[in-house]
Amino acid sequence: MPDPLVPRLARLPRQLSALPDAASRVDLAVDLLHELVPACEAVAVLVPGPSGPATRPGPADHDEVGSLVARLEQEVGEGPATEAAHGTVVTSSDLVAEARWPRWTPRATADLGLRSVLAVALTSASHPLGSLGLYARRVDAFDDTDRALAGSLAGHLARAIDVGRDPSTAPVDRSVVGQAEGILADRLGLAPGTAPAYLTGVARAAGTSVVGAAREVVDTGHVPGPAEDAAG
Amino acid sequence: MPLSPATSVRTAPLVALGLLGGYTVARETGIRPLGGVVLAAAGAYAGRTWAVKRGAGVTTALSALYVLGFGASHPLAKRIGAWPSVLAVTAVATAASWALVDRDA
Repeated sequence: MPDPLVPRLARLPRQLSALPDAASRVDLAVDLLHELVPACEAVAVLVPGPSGPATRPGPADHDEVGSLVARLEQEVGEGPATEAAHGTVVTSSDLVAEARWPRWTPRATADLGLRSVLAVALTSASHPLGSLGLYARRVDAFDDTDRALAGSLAGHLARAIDVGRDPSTAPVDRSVVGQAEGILADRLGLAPGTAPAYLTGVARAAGTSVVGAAREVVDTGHVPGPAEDAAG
Repeated sequence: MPLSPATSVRTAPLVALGLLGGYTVARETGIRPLGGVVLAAAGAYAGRTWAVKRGAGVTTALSALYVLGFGASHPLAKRIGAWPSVLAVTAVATAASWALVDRDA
């Protein structure tokens, strides 16, 4: 029988590239976690913001658990995801025997039926952004592979979110692209409005991003001509 | 969706998918860590099979080759071009995964 996850993973690059913002990328990554970690019954994404933690619910049969568990952590001011947000990996294989979060645990077990948790930090190179909590109603639900996957996905995702948020990054990239378009238009005498398409063509021919091609033009002053571009 | 049994998963295509897909996402979005999300997902799925079929030693070696391949493609691109470098590291990592894990399936 063909592996159903392979076509799912094959679609991932196109899906990720098409998503416009960090929030939708987080959603997609959470969906992916559900598929790659079958034991996971709910996910809470805690990213502190002006309106409190953003949360993402679990699969359909437990679709409120992710939101409820994150809200509970916010309400009592403690819990595994809150602790993980400080940069650690937090696990508990049986919450009934857990003593670290005396206000959160009794309600998580009694009201939501949770028994296992795995929480990892969403940490960029410079600062923590929040955390990702995976929850299950089964004891000892998560293994080493799940921990490695959650940690790795969270790490890449955090850096991707941070790039999108970093106020110094996007304006610089836009500025570089604008400068490169100006240089190309000036040196090659391009018709008004055609420089962006020309720069895109240069990037495609060089096998790099538009920002990368723009940076090359700005940094080196080298202007690829039409013949050079066509030659590759 | 239940995962396929680890022993029945072919890992070489996953390695290729992770490296090529990761590079594509990084290139198209301009956000390199976003490519790492694809790399991590495909790598984790392949790693599960590496561990079950060949143990910790081979898993560590293939994981290092896979992750270093993604990192090495960047400096290599300055010498031979972006796509050739990505295809080169993908070929090496895919071949290693096939030879060490998939071949005896």
